[in-house]
Amino acid sequence: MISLILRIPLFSIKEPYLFSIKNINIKTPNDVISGKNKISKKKSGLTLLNGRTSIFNYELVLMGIYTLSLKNLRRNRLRNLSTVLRISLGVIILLILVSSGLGISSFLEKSGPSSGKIGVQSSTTADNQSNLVSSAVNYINSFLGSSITENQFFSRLEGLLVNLVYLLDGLASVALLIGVLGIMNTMGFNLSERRREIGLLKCMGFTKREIFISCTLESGLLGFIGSIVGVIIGTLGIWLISVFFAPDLFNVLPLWLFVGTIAITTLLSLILGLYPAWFTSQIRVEEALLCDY
Amino acid sequence: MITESILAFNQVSKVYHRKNAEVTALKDLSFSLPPDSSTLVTGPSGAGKTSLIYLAGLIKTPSSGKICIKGVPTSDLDDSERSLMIRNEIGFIFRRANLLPYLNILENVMLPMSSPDEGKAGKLLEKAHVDKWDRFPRDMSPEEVQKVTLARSLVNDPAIVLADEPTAELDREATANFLELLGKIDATLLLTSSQSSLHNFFDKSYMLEYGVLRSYP
Repeated sequence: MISLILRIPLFSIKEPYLFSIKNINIKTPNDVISGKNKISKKKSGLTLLNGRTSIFNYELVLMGIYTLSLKNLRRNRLRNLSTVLRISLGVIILLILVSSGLGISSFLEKSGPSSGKIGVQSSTTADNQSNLVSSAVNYINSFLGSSITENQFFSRLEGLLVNLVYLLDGLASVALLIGVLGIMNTMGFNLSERRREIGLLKCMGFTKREIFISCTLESGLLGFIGSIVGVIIGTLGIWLISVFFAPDLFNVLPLWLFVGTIAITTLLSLILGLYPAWFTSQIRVEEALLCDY
Repeated sequence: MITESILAFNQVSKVYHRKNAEVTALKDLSFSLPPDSSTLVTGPSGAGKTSLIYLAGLIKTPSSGKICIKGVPTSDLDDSERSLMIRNEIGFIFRRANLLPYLNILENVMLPMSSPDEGKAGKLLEKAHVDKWDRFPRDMSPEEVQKVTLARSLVNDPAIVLADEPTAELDREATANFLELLGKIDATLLLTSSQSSLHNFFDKSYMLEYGVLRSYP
């Protein structure tokens, strides 16, 4: 998946050989003109160098500015780790709350329309349940001074549960958002410590756009890793809950919940990384090179 | 198409606008560098050497005058064309901290390549007498760092290499070794230094004082 993400922007690399600008001698793949009009040919296929075999197509994915997104994760490890854990926590809370909501929804669906009775109906317990419901309705009527019928009671209970599902979904979204919001702060710090490097990259001919994409990818990767960790731990937690407390819960959860959680978390991380990445890509080279870091 | 001069300055001036004053860093500079020549610009600190390198390397734009690289006026280039020209035609060597600290030697050299070519990067490193390519910058001496930077600056076969005081943090022996390497490159070289004693290594030397360029005696 990581390599897939890395591959996508590689198609958008500005291939210098394919561009022509005004009167400049443009280099073609087979004809590289240097100061001495030197000709060199591009190699292809397998090479053995420095004791390592490498396939160029593979290296195309691994090298270049976009791989810096992955390599940069090795730096500021404590900060990145805390961000990943925060995102994971958000994802875990999201999964638990959403799965609870799905559990309630499934329960309501199984119970049928609001005029019916909530819960699994068995003939042996129907009378006891009916008595229980009657006494509950009587208690509510006497306590609140109302006069609701059993059907109205069921209808309102169902409405309450539906609202509870919405509330859980809302809380889940907030939990995820709080978890992911930290990525903006982390990326801001990470990138502000790399001003000189950004200047050097620009001196190598990397464009603002390439630097912007690289930095955005880095925040996306943080979110992706955090969501994967969160989904693994969250799934384990839900499975444990289903084993001990709600046997049917795990079966109710659809696959899209996990895939969607990863996708949304990664997307959110990418979006939140946009501003720090844009800010970094706009750094002026001469100012960046004055920095000691 | 081979142009007569790789880099040409025509009446180039650079003025910085400070809070309440204007500072003229470079004043009406005119010179041209022929292909494969090596040129030294010396001068005291604050003379405008770095500004000269930044202007030649398209990092800054001149306040007035015209700069051409391989006959192309650089003022006509937009941002992406400028980046493209830097990548293809210009190699930079700065005074210090030229390498990305989390990439090893080989990765640092290959970074600017559009199409990764370990063979080419390896050859350049061999020519620069750098071994153990899996080392990181923190494990290298300042001389080795500059040699790796030189290899990286040549990796896209640039027309011109711009070196801004690359020997400032090297001792005498390392400086001699490094300049010897610079003398072998297949590109036009423009190097600035505060050490005028280096002029023997270069085809032509200039003196930069208070923004004015004079031929070295």
